[in-house]
Amino acid sequence: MLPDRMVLACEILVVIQLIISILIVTLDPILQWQPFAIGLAVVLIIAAMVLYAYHNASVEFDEEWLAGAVSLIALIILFGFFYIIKGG
Amino acid sequence: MSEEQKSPIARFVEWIDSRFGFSDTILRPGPKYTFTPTYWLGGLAFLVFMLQGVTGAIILLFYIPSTDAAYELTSKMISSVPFGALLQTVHLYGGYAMIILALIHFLRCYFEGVYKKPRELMWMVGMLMGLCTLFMGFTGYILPWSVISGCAAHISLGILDYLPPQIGGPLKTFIVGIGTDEEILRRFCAYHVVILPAAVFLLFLIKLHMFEVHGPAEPVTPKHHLPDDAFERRPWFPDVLVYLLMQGFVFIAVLLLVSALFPLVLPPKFSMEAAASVHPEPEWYFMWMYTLLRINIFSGTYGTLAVICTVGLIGLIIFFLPFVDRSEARHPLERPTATTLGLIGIAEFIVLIVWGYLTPGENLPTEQAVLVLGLPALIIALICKYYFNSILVERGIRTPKKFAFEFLSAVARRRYLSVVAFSLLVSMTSCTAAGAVSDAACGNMLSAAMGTVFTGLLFFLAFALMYLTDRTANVPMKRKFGPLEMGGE
Repeated sequence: MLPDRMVLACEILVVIQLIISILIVTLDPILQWQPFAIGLAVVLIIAAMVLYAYHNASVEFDEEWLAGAVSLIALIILFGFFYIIKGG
Repeated sequence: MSEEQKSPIARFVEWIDSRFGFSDTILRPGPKYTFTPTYWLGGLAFLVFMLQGVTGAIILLFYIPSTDAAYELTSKMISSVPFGALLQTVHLYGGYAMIILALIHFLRCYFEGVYKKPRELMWMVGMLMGLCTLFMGFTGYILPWSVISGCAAHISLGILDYLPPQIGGPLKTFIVGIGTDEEILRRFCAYHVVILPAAVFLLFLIKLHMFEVHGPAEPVTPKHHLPDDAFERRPWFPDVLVYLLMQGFVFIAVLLLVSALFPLVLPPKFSMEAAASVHPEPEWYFMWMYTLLRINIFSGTYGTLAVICTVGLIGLIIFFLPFVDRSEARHPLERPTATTLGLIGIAEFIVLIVWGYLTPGENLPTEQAVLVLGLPALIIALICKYYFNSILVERGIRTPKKFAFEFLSAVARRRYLSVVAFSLLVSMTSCTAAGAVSDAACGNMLSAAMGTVFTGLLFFLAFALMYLTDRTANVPMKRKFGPLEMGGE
């Protein structure tokens, strides 16, 4: 079983994923395909993070927090690109 | 655990499994040691192949293989079809990704000796898949019929003219029929869309069957260095599937990100006037071959034929490698020759690609080629020779012998001095080798012979210096599987 804090983290990630999914479907498919692609990349990375948590449910998440943190940083960078390109 | 205590996700997984019967399929459970990215590179390449199938099928809805329409339709798809640019760009980078993954998978299997008994045929099937992947990339490159595509088609078919007419003629007719632009495009489209993907899929099924029979190769790392539960088997569903999905999601995300940041820019349409104004270049994965053909010594019919034969011979040796290398050792450190040759191969591949991009359309002097290609090979050969020698001595397999070049010890005792001397010797070796080749090309055979002898002497001096530097240091090197660890067992 996954610890409660991890379940909560996964739930928050899924909510973020939903928000981004809604955001990207509102984009213009011809002119704004680049932000769409970056948004889709973020959605997939969140899905991979949630799968990672459940795949390693029996493992104590000590070192894994580091991996999680790195993934979050990657996520933030992706958000940055997402908004820069959308703004441009 | 009762039904109420299970999480909603666990219940959902069980529901899926009970309906699809994944647990009862023939796919075998995976040992835990396979849950590392390097073990699933082939699977990841196949996932990208599937992605290429999906994106390619959609692109095909907007494409006609005709020299009049192909470019306009591709261009129109990029500019005015919803997600057209995304599909085209992802399809392009997906092709690159498939080739890169196949290449890394090949290297991993080579260095870890995965091709050895009983996986000889898996290796050969994998090699055929790799070849099909390369040709899929090449045929796809032709389809937009841009100026680069048209030139690439004509140049690559022109290479066949260097073969003996009894072979080249029928081969060309078999590949492109009567050889008009229209016919070339139509046939390449058929190869790219139907024949090559079907071949890859068929080969994949054969390989999957053999994988299920033999299972994943055991790691080369000694068992006592692995975690206790490394050989514990995990079910294919959901464990292996979830792991693959996780990797696949990350990989596709990276692909999307690269596509968004570096979108496809279509070159101008192919015409004879446009072709005259560009330096046609192959894609990066064939650039090494193009660079080789531009070296002066390989110009002309016989030179080109020599390159084709040499590359073909190396390809054949790699294809039949399981029957060439019959030793049982798998660890790269236990196979010094194979490891050294592999590292030299990687270095030459990268050097040829980079050199090709740095010198577009130029003829390359032979002496320069000896320097550019010889120097990395020489340095890697020397380092590997030194490294493996010291490992064998350290493990007690070989005893250090009295060395003929002991007089170099005076230099070798001073680390900084020996580094400078070593660099000088390696540079001088390459220069004399280049000079010898140049003399031989001019017909000055005496000078060439002297240059060769001098090159050999410098090479041995460089090696001797490196060897002695290690011997005089008196500091045991820290290695993962050193003699103390092995002796302590």
